[in-house]
Amino acid sequence: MDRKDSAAVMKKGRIVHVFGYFLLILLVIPGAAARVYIDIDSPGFQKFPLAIADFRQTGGDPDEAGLSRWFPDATARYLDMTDYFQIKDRRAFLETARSTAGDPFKVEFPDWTTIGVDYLVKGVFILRGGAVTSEIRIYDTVKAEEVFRRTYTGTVDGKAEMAGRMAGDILAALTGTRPLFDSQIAFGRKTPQGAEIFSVNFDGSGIAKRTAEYALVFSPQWSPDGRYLSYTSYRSGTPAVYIKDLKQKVTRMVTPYRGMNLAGPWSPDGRKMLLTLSRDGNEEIYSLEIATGTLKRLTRHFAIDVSPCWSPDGGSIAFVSNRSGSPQIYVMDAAGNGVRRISYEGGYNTSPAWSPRGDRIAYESRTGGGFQIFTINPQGEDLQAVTSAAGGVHEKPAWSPDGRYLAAISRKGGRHRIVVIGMSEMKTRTIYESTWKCSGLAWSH
Amino acid sequence: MRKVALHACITLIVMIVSLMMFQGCAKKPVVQEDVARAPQAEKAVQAPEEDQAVREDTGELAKLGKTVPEEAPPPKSGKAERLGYFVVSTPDGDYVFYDVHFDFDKYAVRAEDRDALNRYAKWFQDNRRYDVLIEGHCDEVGTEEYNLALGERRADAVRRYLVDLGVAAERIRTVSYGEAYPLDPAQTEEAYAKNRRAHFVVSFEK
Repeated sequence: MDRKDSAAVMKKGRIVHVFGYFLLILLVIPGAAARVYIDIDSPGFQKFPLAIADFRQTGGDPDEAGLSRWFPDATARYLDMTDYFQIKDRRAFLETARSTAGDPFKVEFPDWTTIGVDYLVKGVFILRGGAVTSEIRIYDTVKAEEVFRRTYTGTVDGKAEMAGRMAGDILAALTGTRPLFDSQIAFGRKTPQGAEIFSVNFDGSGIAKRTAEYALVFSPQWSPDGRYLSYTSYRSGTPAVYIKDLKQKVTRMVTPYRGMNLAGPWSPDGRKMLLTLSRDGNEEIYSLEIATGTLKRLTRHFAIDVSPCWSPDGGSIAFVSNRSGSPQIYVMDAAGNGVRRISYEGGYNTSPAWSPRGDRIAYESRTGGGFQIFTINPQGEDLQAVTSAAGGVHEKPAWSPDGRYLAAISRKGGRHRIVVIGMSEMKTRTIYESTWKCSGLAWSH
Repeated sequence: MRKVALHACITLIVMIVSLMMFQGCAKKPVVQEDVARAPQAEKAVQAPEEDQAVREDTGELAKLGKTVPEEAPPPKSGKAERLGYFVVSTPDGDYVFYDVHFDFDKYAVRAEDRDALNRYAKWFQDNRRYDVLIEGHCDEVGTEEYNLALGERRADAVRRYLVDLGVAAERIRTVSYGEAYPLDPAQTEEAYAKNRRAHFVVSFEK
């Protein structure tokens, strides 16, 4: 909740008034001198050397779970995933517990700068009957000053969630970016009884089966608030779009039209969803207004039109059409006008995904080495390869909410993987792996 | 010293003004959210026994389709084997419908399949109490969603062919399974060619 409010304030502050900057300071980095430290978007960005000292227990029950080391390790694991930090190994640390014995938050700054650490995280915790209270502080070791502190409460059982919050705060305090650690990636996967929609956390934890369809499923889509999950299921024998209300645990069948019914993305404002339907004779793209149930047809062409996605401002739609004779990526405005083709390299280009930053459209293209992922700008220029055949075949790109990562399905040697690719370093991390075939991805907002 | 005091004073004013603005604009979404959610909670308290109905009335999705069970019925035991043909047994004997095949990324009926389709059309003319479901399938090479569309085009191309030869349109249903049910799971050109197909499922009238 706290984080969401901050994000909302950040957005408004920038647009509405001059003093927004002060709000940002007050909310994001309470009790600290404030500025955004690491410009992760600068072209010369280098990973920031960060150390997380072992947490000191300041009271309570014996530390049987080994939290003293568990917290720094778990937090470091989260931060390492972002590709922004170079986490220093604790074996390099010079500062001893003895030198800071009296005060756990005493920092021997030269001990850290000597080993090349620019930022230091220290933590303490108290354990009482399964409950944990912990405080962390972040230091700029070069300036020898504290930049952030916060206290957390939780349980030993819920320690992973606590570490996630800590990592999120560290990331936000040092880079000003919204943490992705609580975002989820939904995908379809075959099961012994059919196929289901699953979701997995950004860090590869928390795999969960979201549906019980016992039938073919395709194209999971999150609503912007994460409350609804829409998808296509063949549970009734033919394809229809379903929406699951994850909060109230209610499922609706939304489009029981003749022929194809494919779920497409929700609009950025959550008011509409895109669909591919063949109810009017062949596959066309439609938008469905959630509040009224009004269906509006956007494409009119005898060719296949499929796989639409929104631009982040909701003003444009990218989609696949074979109107030129082979599947290619097209862009049109949100009313279906001004259709123009943007992909010209290659004879088979599909699965467009528009970056939340607006400047790139990712898609998959059939190459000599099987399907691989590329990005291009919305004008159809500046084509760049993201994946290569070395990692297998890559399909179905999906952007992270901050546009800094792409999730994709990778296939190699009978294994199906969900991978996350950091766009700054093109480093790939596997977050899920199965011998069962996986399909269509969506990243929660 | 005086400069520092002045600085502190300005900073304080700025902070106060900022906080006031924060109250004014930043809190709004939170309040709106509460208002939007309140009626649901109220109704749930009033009529807990009509749980399903309450959900139906208050949801943001009320205008969309209809509610269905959270879980679909589990599948009947035994997995149907996929074959490249379909045998229909009639009082006059068995009749075999062979799959018809397609080129990569194409859905035009091939010349070599026309004779077979002509025979099938005649069979449907002669056996008017039978209906058919035409399944459209693809190889695994393409993209899943595009293949769903392509499979539909293939099934539809065969349907149109039969309709043009006089089979009543209402006797023919189509469904696309895209690349989900390959006949041959091998990753070879030969297998892909087998998997790009339209498959017939013929049933006695319903």
